[in-house]
Amino acid sequence: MPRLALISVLLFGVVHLPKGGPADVYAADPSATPEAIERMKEIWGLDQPLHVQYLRWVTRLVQGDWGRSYVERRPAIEVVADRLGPTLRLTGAALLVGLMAGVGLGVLAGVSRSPGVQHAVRVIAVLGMSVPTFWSGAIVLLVFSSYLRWIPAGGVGTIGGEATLLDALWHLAAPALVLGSVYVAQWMRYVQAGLESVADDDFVRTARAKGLSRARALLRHGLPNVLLPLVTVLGLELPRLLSGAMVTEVVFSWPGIGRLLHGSLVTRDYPVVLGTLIVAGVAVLIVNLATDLLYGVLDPRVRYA
Amino acid sequence: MTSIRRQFATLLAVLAVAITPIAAAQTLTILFPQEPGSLFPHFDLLSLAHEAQDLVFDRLFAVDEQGAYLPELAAEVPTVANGGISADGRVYTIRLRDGPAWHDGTPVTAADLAFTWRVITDPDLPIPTRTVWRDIVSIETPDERTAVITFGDTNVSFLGAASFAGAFVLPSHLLEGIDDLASAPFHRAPIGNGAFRLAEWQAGSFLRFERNDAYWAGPAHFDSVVIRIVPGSEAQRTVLSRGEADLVLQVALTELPFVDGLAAYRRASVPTFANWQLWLNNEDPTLADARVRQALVHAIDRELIAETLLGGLSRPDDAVLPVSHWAHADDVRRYPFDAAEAERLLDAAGWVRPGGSAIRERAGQPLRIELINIAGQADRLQVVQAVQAFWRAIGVQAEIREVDAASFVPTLGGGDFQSAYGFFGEGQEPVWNLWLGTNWQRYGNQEALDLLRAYGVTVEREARRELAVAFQRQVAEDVPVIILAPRPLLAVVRADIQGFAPTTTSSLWNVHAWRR
Repeated sequence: MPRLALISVLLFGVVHLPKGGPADVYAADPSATPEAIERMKEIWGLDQPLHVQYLRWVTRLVQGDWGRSYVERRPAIEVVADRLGPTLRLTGAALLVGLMAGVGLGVLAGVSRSPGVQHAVRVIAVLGMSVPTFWSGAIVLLVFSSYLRWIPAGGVGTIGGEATLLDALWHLAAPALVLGSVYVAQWMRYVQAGLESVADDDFVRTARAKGLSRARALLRHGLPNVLLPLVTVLGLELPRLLSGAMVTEVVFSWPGIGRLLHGSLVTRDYPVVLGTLIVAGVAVLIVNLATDLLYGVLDPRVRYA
Repeated sequence: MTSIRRQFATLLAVLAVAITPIAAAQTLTILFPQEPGSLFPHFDLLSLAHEAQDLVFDRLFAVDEQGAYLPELAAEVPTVANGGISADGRVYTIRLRDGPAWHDGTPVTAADLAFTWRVITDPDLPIPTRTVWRDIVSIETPDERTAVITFGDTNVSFLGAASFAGAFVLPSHLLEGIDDLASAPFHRAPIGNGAFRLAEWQAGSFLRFERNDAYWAGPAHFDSVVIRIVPGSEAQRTVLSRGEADLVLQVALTELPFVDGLAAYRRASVPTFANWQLWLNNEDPTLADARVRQALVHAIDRELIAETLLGGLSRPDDAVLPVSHWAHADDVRRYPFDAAEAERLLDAAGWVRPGGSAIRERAGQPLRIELINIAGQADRLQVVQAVQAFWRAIGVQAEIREVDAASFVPTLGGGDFQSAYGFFGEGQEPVWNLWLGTNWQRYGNQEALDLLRAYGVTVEREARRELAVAFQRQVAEDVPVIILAPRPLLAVVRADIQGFAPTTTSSLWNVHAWRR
C-alpha cells in the first residue's frame, strides 16, 4: 500500500512537472483572453496547490472516478477504454510475431551448423535490433502500400466497409510485423545462445548417446530448458512493447493508447495521461503475475518450492 | 403512324431510364492530422475542430474569399445604412433567415442566438474565448426571427466575432436546462443546423457525416463526408499516393516537394491573417535598445526564408496586419536584408567586435540571445536555424531552446524569454489582444497603444482603418516583434474537386456547394 501511494505521488508529480497546463494550450489563440484562461483554470481546479490537486485526484481515483478529459469532455476512463482494444490487438499480434519468428529462427540458428545460416541469423539480428520502428514502418508503408498496394494505408479497418475478420487482419498485419520485428532479433539470439549453452550438457549428451541426432536432442530436451527463462524475459519486455506501440500507432494511424498518450501529453490532458499510465502499469503487473504463474506450470520445481 | 412513333418514343424513354446508371453515393474524404476533441462549438479553439463543426453548424455570417461578410443564418448583414447597426455602434438588430432548422426539424430562432450568448458568457463554463460576447448587455427577441443585441459601449467587432471560425449558434431547445454543458453528451453527439449531420465517430480513426437533405441552402452535392484522422506524415503521403483522400488540411511545409509531385492533386493556400514572427522581449536589457531590434531584422534575409522554408506561399512584410487584411498598412518603414546596416546599428548601440571576434561584446558581455521554439516540427526548426545563422553572421550568438507547445505560452507570458518564434494573427475585426491583452513582447509605447484603444470605440470603418494604419507605422519603427511573413496554411485538394474556396475563417464554409 505505501508503495502504491508513493507510485501515485511520483506519477502525478512527473505528469505535472513540465510548464503549462491544459488551459495554456488555448492561450496562444488571439481570441483567448488571459482572464478567460485564468477562469478555465479555476473551474478545473488547476489554480489550487499541487498537493490539493493530488489529494482530490487520488480520492476520486479510489472511488473509481478517473476524472474528465479536458479535451474530449467525457470521462477519462471512457477515453482510455475506447483505445485499449486496438492496442491490445496490436501488441498481442506483435508479441505473437516476435515469439514465432524469434523462437523459430533461434532454433534454426542453434541447431544448424551451416555457416550460411549462422551468417544470415547474425544479419537479421543486427538489422532487427538497430532499425527503429518509425523508419521500418515508413519503409513498409512506402513499399507495400504506396507502390505495391498490398496493404492498406493505415487504420484498423476499411472506413464505410463491412467489419470482417479478414479486413481487420489485413489492417493489422503490417503494424504487427513492424512492431514484432524488434523482438524477433532479440528473442532469436536468446534462443540460439540458450541452445548452444545446453548443447554439451549431460542431459543432451545422454539423449544423443541413446541415438538421437543433435538436432532432435536439442529440440526435444534442450529447447524446453531454454524457453523457461524466456517467459520471464517476455514479462519484462511488456513495458518496452507498449512504448514501441506508441511510435507504430502514429506511423500506421492506429487508434491505440500509445497515440492517445502522445496526444494527451501535448495537450496536457492530465486525467487521460494518468489514466493511460495506470492502465499500462496494471498491464505490467498482470503480465508479471501471469509470468510467475506460468513459470510454476512450466517448471514443477518452482511450484513445489 | 403517329401512334406507333409515340409508342416507340415512349419505349426509348423507358429504356433510357432503365439503362441510366444509378449515381454511386459520393463521399468526400478529408484528412485531418489531429482529431477534434469536441464538436460542441465554443469549447475548443483548435482550428480543425472549427472546420469539423462547420459541417454540422452554421454561423450568423460567413466570410467570403474577398473578406466580405455573407449572411448565413442571418437574412442580411447589418449596417448603419440598413438600420441593422445603431449610429452609436451599441445596438445590432439581427434578422434571421426564414428556413434554417436544426437537424431534428425545429426551426432556428432568435432565442437560440440569445441562448448561445448566455452559454459563451456563463462564468461557470470553461469557455476559452468570450471576447466581444462578454461586452453584450442584453439580447432581446421581439419575435422568433429578430434579435436586438445591445452592448454597453460602442462595439466595432461584433460582425467579426459572429463570423469567427467557431461562432456557431446553439440549439436552446436541446441544451437549455442541462446542468453541466461542459460534460454534456452533445460534445460527441451534436445536433446542428448545417449541411451535414454527424452519423458516426470512431475515436482516433474517423468521423462520418451524412447529408442534411433539409439544409436551407439546398442539399449538398456529396452524400457524406468522412474526416479521416491520419497523424503521421508517412501515412498521409501513403493515403495521397493511393488517391484515397479528396482534401488534406494543414499540411506541413516540408511536404511541399512531395505534394507538387502528385498529378491528381493541386496545392492550395488557405489564407489567414496570422504572421510568422519573432517575439522580442522589449524589457530584456539587451533587446530594450531599438537599434538592436532593428539590427536583428535587417540581418535576416526574409525573402530567402519565405521563398524556401515557407514554401513561397507568401511575401515578407513589415506591417502587423498582412496585406490581405482590410486594415493593412502599406507605407510602413521597411527593413530589407542588409547585413552592413545591421552591423552599423549594433556598433552604434555599443555592441562591437573586439579584435575582430566572431561574437560581439559590450562591457565584456557577449551578445547572446536565446531563441525559443516549439519542438517537434521540422519546418519550424529549419526557420529558427536559418535565423540563428543570419544573426551569427552579424556577431550575434543565438541559442535555440526548444519547448513543447503547452509550455510555450506560459514561458512567454511569464517573461522568461528573450526571443521566440511562432505565429499570431488577428481576425477580420481585430481585437488587438496581443497588444492590449497578453503583450508578450512587453511593448511599452503608450502613444501607439492609445491608437488601439481609440480603435475599439470608433464606429466608422475608415476612421478605424486610419487608426490601425497609424499603429502599424509606429510598430514598424519600434520593431517590438520581427515579422517574417504572413502564414497561409497549406492544403492539398484533388484536382477534380470544384468549389473549394478557403477563407480566413474556414476551409469548409461552403462545402454544401462542392462537387466532383
